[in-house]
Amino acid sequence: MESVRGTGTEEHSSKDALVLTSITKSFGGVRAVSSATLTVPVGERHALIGPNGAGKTTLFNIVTGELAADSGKIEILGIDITRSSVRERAKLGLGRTYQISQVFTNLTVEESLFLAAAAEQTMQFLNPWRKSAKVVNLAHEAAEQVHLTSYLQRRVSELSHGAQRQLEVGMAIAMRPRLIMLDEPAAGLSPFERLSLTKLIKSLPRSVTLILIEHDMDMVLDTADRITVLQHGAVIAEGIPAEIRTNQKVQEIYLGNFYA
Amino acid sequence: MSRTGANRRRLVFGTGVIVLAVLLPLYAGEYTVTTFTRIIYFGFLALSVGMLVGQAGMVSLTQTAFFGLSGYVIGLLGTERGMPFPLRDLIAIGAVLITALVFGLIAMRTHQIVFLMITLAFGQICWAFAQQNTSLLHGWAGIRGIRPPTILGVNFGRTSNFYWAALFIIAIGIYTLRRLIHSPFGLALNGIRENPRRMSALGYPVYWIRVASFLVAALYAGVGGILAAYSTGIVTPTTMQLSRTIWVLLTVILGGASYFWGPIVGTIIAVWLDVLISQGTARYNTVIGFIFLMTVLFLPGGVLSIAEFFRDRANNPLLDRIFRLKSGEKNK
Ligand SMILES: Nc1ncnc2c1ncn2[C@@H]1O[C@H](COP(=O)(O)OP(=O)(O)O)[C@@H](O)[C@H]1O
Ligand SMILES: [Mg+2]
Repeated sequence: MESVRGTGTEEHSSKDALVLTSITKSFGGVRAVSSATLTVPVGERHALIGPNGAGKTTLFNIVTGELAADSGKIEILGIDITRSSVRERAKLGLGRTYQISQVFTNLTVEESLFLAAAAEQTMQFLNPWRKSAKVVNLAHEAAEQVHLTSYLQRRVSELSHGAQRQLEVGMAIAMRPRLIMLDEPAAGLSPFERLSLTKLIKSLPRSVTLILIEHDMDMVLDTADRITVLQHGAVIAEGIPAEIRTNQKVQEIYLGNFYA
Repeated sequence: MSRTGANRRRLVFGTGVIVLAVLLPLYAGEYTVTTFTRIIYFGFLALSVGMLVGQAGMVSLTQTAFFGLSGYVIGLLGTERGMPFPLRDLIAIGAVLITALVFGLIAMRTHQIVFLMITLAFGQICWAFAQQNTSLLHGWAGIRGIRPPTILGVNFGRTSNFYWAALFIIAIGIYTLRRLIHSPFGLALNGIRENPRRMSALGYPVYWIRVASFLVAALYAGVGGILAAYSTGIVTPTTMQLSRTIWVLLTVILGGASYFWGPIVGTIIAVWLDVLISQGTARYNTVIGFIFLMTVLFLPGGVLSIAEFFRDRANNPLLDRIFRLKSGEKNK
């Protein structure tokens, strides 16, 4: 994880990895995201929490470009990407995982990670992909980080749910993004897998910015520098973990499920 | 070592097939050689469809149109206007690629059922145009008297010479396609087949990769079309009619769409079935249909899946029952 995407071509001097200004999105009558504003400085580990249906995933999809916002502005690393395609945003160094795994079911783990690591390379048409030693190494490194080394030659469809979730994260890491967005990466993981995921998140270099949607509060409190709370699509609180913990509105939402 | 053993067996088998194929005109009759030439040009068409279906996950019903288009260009420019080899052939390939680019730029914006419908429409438009245009394409009659060229004193109008030329061309075609499929581009195609959404999020130009694969597939269909025109001497609307398109699709599935050799194996089987059954019975379509149905039922992965299939036959309730009955086990 020393080198990351987008380096070399332009030097992004912006100190903010992500700036969202008044993002709004409705599905028919449902307002999924309501005038959300958010700033995440470079290197920050930022958690996005809130009850189911709060609009967290929708907000992720808007940032990655898979959904278009009705209004508002999105900047990544100082560049206005409100109108950019999914691919352009990925090229700028935006990587993500999905709440519902988006994997390559009939490919192997190695092939999946290779695709993630090779995405920024110039496309090769006639040389065998296995011979691209540099990219294969990057793929193997990513496998190591998510503990899938012994599964490299397995088909993704043969993996357990937990291993597929780890592959989700592995593919995002293999991209070597500058801004990585994880959508409930711990969902369905065993306690042991959660711990190693937490360790992995903490081991990411500070040149990488992280935004994490997660219901596992241990993980959130262990990793996050700042927390944003979303409810009914609106930001209702933002601050360091200690502030969020004692926030009156947040405590009401979580009805005591939250650490008081 | 079992791996080197398997490799050696594959090498021996491959060499044997190549030797038998190259020497074919020396030990087989003219009819057999012509039939294998037919396998080669339909093989190109099957590789075209197989690449799209198996590697890219796109069921295209347009490929036969490219097959016919290149034949028509050869007929129009070569036979009717006397344009020499290889200019007419290059123009034929160029025409196929330009048409494929125009089709591709439109069709690759769509997916699944819409893609199927739009490629069906493209194919049908080409077929209808060829059939209705009497001034240039002579409607149903098509263009006749297409002759292969004589190059450096070698007359490719001779069955054996033409077979060798076709064999050489498909050898290059197969080698190149194999390289392509095992390259990062080929892997990216597989990624798009599995999950285009994820591929976009990883930063791949999904649309353009699909367009590029469509062009490659069209090239293969076009080369097959040129060989077919030379070999049969005629090109008519029938060359690109829908039943031909369906036949090729079934052929690819018969061999095994997800296997590299699936389209070729499927074509060998289907063409020989064609020959043998049409000689033996008038119920040609019934027999072919029955064989296809049996394949899909027992070998949904195609003929080439037979090894894998026996390995995990327990997953197939139908065959599992048959085997248990045979071995006398009671089905509880
Ligand atoms: N594609 C969609 N079409 C219609 N409604 C949607 C769609 N995606 C999300 N929603 C709605 O938007 C709201 C926010 O959903 P989501 O962003 O998935 O919440 P979260 O990730 O916080 O659980 C929910 O009410 C959900 O039903
Ligand atoms: Mg969600």
